[in-house]
Parts: sequence; structure tokens; C-alpha cells
Amino acid sequence: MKIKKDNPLILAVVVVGLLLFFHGIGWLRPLENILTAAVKPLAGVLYGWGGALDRAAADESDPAVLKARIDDLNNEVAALTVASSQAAETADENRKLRALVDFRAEHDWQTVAAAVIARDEAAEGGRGLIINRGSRDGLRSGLAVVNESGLIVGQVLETKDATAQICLTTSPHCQLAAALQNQAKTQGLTDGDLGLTIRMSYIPQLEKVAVGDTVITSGLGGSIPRGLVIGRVTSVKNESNEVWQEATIEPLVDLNRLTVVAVIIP
Amino acid sequence: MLRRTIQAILFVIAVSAAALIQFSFLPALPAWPAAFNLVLVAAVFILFFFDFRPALVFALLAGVWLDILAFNFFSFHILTLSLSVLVAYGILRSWLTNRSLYAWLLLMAAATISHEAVAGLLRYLFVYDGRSFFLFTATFWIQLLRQSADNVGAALILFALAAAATRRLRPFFLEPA
Repeated sequence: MKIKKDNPLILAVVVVGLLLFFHGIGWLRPLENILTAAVKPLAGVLYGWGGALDRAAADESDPAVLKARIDDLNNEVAALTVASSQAAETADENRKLRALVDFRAEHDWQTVAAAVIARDEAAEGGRGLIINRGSRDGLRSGLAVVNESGLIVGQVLETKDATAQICLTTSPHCQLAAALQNQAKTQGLTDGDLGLTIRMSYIPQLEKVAVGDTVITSGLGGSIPRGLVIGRVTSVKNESNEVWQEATIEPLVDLNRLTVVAVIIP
Repeated sequence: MLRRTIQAILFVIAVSAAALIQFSFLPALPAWPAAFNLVLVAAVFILFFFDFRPALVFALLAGVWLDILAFNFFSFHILTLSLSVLVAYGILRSWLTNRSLYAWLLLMAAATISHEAVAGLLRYLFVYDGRSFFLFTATFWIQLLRQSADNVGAALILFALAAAATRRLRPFFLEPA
């Protein structure tokens, strides 16, 4: 069989092979960074337009005034929940600090603001986002991502030089060490459930969990500070033959409508 | 020479715009329109109405763009898009004898199925460890259904536009002299 030199298939295979090779050894990285930096602003604008259309489509089903009112109330509830949990944490912290001789500031965080430039199709069920900050801005895997109210919305999964991939708290396998704001400060582990709610597992059977309890990050695990609000308990699954009980948590904000976030660097 | 250069530049701009819209704009839409694969539809359009070579170049360039921007492993989009164009080319050359609406819709459906199958297989092999085989997951079938509906719907509109723009696609009848 005779192979033509200008066969497009052979050329394609050669080009792809060369691209993979140069990407593998890092020679394409400067070009990739230049191209990413060049299109990031436009990507943010396009994402904003898409999000606006999404919101417009969703608003069609409800009367506009009621929808706006509900949104306002939800924002207010979210802000109050954050304020309340922060106050509770501060009071608790204050009590402990008073007991100590030398005071030490715990919340010495730095935040990096970022714009969402795309929904991440690589994430399972599309439950991830891509933001316009990357390892050059100090981001690394495992850092907490919060919204403008300070509620934790996800975690950095992977970074490139100029962008980062984040998983949302409702994504399966987006795990956070969590604690309930109850008397016992019950601890557990949260991960996403079908991309809709959050599941808190590994709660000991003897712990008392109530619907309405606020769930915050426990601070265990290193990269994520304690006290960031994850959501509120909506149901508790407590089987007598199980070692652990499980709680379903609802996030306090609509994670599909994030456009600006901040990454906390401890 | 100048004309070819301008054509090439316009082609690269068109590919870049399509890739950027695919990356940022479409996934932000509600679930059904978000499944639309603009880049694949454009590549198959070029294949059907023009030639294999520009369609393959379109798929490769768009794949490079998407691989640079997205967080799949590098070459994921290059492979899914170029293999889909290859499958479509094989079907077009072997089984489809004319440029009718039915051939066009069939080709688009086949390209969409092959794209989703290759993407599902690559994710199963290299991205999601220890998950069910992609054909046994509801996510795969839901996404395939949505993308097929979107792509075939867009193909229908594109064919109508192309038919309005050129006489080549209009039906003709042999009448006895």
C-alpha cells in the first residue's frame, strides 16, 4: 500500500504527536500561558452572558417581583447565618483566648479574589468551576473558596499558572472536614450528593444532630480555616444498626450563580 | 497568496472564537442548551459542505484551544474532536451517497455519538478512577440525549440556511422531455 506524503491523517498524527511531546517537556507552557492570559477577560465576559441567560430562563417560571423578593430574603438569611456563626465562633474563641495568657490571632488569612470564567465540564456532572487565578497568584490544591458573603462554596482541585479548577461543595468527592455548631461541636466529613445537596457523614451515633443546625468547616486537615459556613442541616438519617449517622445539608447560596469568589490562603 | 493568508487568518479567528464560546459561554447556559457542541457541529459542517482537510484542521486547532483552557488531560479534546471527524468522514465516504438533509442529519448524529463515546471512554480510562463503565452510567446517556438533540437541531437550522444560500442543496427532478 502506497502512503501519500501529504495525507492529512499522517500530518494530523505527526502534529498531535509533536504537540503532546512539546507539552510533556514543557516547551508549550509559555505559549499556553500567553494564550490563556489573552482570552481570560473575554472568557469572563462570555461566562457572564451565559449566566445572565441562565438566570433569565430560570426567572420565566416565577413572577419577577416574588423572585426578587425571595432572592433578597435568601441573601439576608445567608448573611445573617454567616454573621451568627461568626459571632458564635468569635465568642467561643474569645472565651478560650481569655483563658490563655498570650493572645494569638488565629484568623491571619490572606484572600485572593477571582472571577469565574467557565463551568468545568471535566468535573463529574459539570459541578465545578474554572477561575481566573492560578499558581502564579499563590493558589494551590486544597484551598478553600468562598463567595462574597464568606460562605465556603468549594475547594481548589488543581491549578495551572493562570487558572484554577475548583470543585463545588455539592460535587461528589469534594470533601471537607466539618463540624456542627451545636453544644458538642460534632465533627464529620462532608461531600457532595448528586450535585444538589451536601452529605455529612461519619457522625458518631451518640451525637445529637438537629434539623436547622449550621455546619461549618472544622479546620482539620490544614489548608481550610475553621468557621466557614458550609450550610444548614435539612434532614438526619439515623439507623440504629449503623455505626455512623448521616445528615443532609443544604448550601445557603445557589452555587450555579457564582461569578466572583475568593480563595483563602492560610 | 495574500488571499490565502487572509483566509487562513480568518479561519484561525473563527476556530478560536468557536473554542472560546464552547469553553465559557455554552456551559453557563441552562442544562439543555449547555450540551450543544458548537465546535463539533462546525467541524462536521465543514466536512459535509467543504472538505475533510479543513474539517480536520478545525477539529485539531479547536482541540488545542480547549486543551489549553480546560482541565482535562492535554490531548483530550484533540482526540475526541479529531476522532469524531474521522468517524464522520468514514461514514460520509462509505455509506452516504448524496448531500441530502437526511445524510446531513445522520452524519451529525453519528459524529455526536462517536464524540460522546470517545469522551466517555477517555474519562473512564484516564480521569475517573474506580467508577462504573461509562455506558452503565445515567450521566452519559442523559448528556448524549441532550447533545444529540441540540446538535441535530442546530444541523437542521444550518442546512436550511445553507440551502437558502446556495442552489446546490435544492432538490431537482428529472422531467420527461
